Amino acid sequence: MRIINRILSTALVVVLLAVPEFASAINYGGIGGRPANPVPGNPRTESIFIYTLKPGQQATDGVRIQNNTTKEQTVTLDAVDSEIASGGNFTCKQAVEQKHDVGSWIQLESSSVTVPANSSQVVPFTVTVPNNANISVGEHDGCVTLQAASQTATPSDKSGIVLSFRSAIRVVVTIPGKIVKKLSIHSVTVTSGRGSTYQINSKIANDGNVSLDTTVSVGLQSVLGSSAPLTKKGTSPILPRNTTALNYAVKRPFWGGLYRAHVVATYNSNPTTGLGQDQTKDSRSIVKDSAIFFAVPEPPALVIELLALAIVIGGVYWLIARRRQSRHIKRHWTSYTVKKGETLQSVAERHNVSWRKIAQVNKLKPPYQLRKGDTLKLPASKE
Amino acid sequence: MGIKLKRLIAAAIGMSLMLVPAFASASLTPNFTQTINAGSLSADIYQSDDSTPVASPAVAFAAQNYSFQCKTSTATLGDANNKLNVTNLASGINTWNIAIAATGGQTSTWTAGSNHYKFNDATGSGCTNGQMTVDPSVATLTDDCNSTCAANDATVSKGSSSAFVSGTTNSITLMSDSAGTAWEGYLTGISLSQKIPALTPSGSYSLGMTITLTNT
Repeated sequence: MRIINRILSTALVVVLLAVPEFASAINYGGIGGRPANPVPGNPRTESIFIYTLKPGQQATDGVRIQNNTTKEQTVTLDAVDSEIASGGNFTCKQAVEQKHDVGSWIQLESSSVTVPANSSQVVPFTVTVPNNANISVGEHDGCVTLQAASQTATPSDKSGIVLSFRSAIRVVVTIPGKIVKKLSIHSVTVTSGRGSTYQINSKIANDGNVSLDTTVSVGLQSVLGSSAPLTKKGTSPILPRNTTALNYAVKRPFWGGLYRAHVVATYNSNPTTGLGQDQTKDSRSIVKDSAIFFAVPEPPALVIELLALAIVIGGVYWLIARRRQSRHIKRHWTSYTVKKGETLQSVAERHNVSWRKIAQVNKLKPPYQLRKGDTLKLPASKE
Repeated sequence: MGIKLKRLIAAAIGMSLMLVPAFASASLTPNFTQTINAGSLSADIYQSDDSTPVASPAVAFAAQNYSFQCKTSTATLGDANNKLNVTNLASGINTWNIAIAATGGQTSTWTAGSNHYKFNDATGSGCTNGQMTVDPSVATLTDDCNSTCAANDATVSKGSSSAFVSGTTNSITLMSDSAGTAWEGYLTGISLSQKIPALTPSGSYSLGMTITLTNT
């Protein structure tokens, strides 16, 4: 038995040493999709589909479905029109809704695909713009949607809201012609945010016929001039013929005071530059400020400011009181000549006033010696 | 066992151990491969462990009694055991928006057998036929990633309170990101409020809704 054990042990060592490959994979996220054929030089096409097609033209592409779960997933695909969600954000219509625009232009090669765990699969599709002169120039948007069977629910046996999930990829089809790029900032307001923040609420309107990837920078500017630099808050797509609400949190100014919110929106204004192409040239910035508002100081700053205010008020009060006293003395105190043998104490008692006051008004210094013939200012009556 | 046999086996083991390293270094250099598959942009409702999807997630509203008055029932979408999670680990810049809408479109209704009432009718402040309001602004947004992606928190924002209105507001934004950089996190405590018309028949009503995560 011992012999057999030793032989087996040796064989095991040899086998282990002979295996040359150790492989593992790291996976992130769940089930998602992305364009299968991004256009080199246009980074936006790594995440959304972008086409410029005339009526009657067609484009062929594919959607890559990534399954980063540990189980095989059956995914349903669809093409739908887009719609605007609350706040002016892009979203997609439901599968049951009728398709009138880009949703009807997309033909997927397959409406269902099974993707093994930790792998991806490409589903080809074509986008065909109808040969119709009535199709408006400018941007048309739709979506390719993906929904895993595991994320689909039916309400028949449940009560309350029964939730399903799906992912979607925006599809942008621009019909060439007179492209209009026109952005304006409708309004800027400030509200209290969470913790030590304010929320800058901006409404940005796109009156053109194509979406504009807009970089927004915000900040608070002091009415007195000094302010923190603006903070770039990211780039958001502002859809055509739409107003988008963009809200950003900014830190509350430590010292507080009178401020206004400052919003700068920057976009590419060249009508010939498509979505995702070089946005750095021909950029245009529009600016809008909010109304002036009072920013409450942070608690430590408030304490310091209140203390400083108390000191200032106290100082002013002291100055006023002192000035009043000087005026009173000037009006009501008279000159007195010191007689032989008189002391500051005896003079004060005779005139019913404190010796300290006499010394203060007459600027007498210790030991407060008086000599016959000295002139003092004294009150005419008891104070 | 004989001494000779023992010595023979020991010699064999010794030779194996000497030969195998030479063999390995000559032609069996172990290769370690690490594959990192492309990440994805995805959303789901996760359990408290932040990684296990909840099977068949549902949101229950507080029960209301049959009444001559319009009633308001409330619910919360997303709690400690049902987190609305978004994972953006796809390469590149992926700005995204997550919104909720009725699966059956704007003609959907709350249904219990043959009884129905609406979720998107503003008539009579929502009380005539039924209206739902969704308020993500009161929810808690929590990042679920390390300090690297937590730096991207500033560009992820919650939606504002909105009510469904047929033909006008069919989808309500829950969360969005304007930077599109790597991020993972979740939303809990989204407030839902449903106006129920007076004299709505009793029953267990349900409404199918779809949460759509769109790469914009």
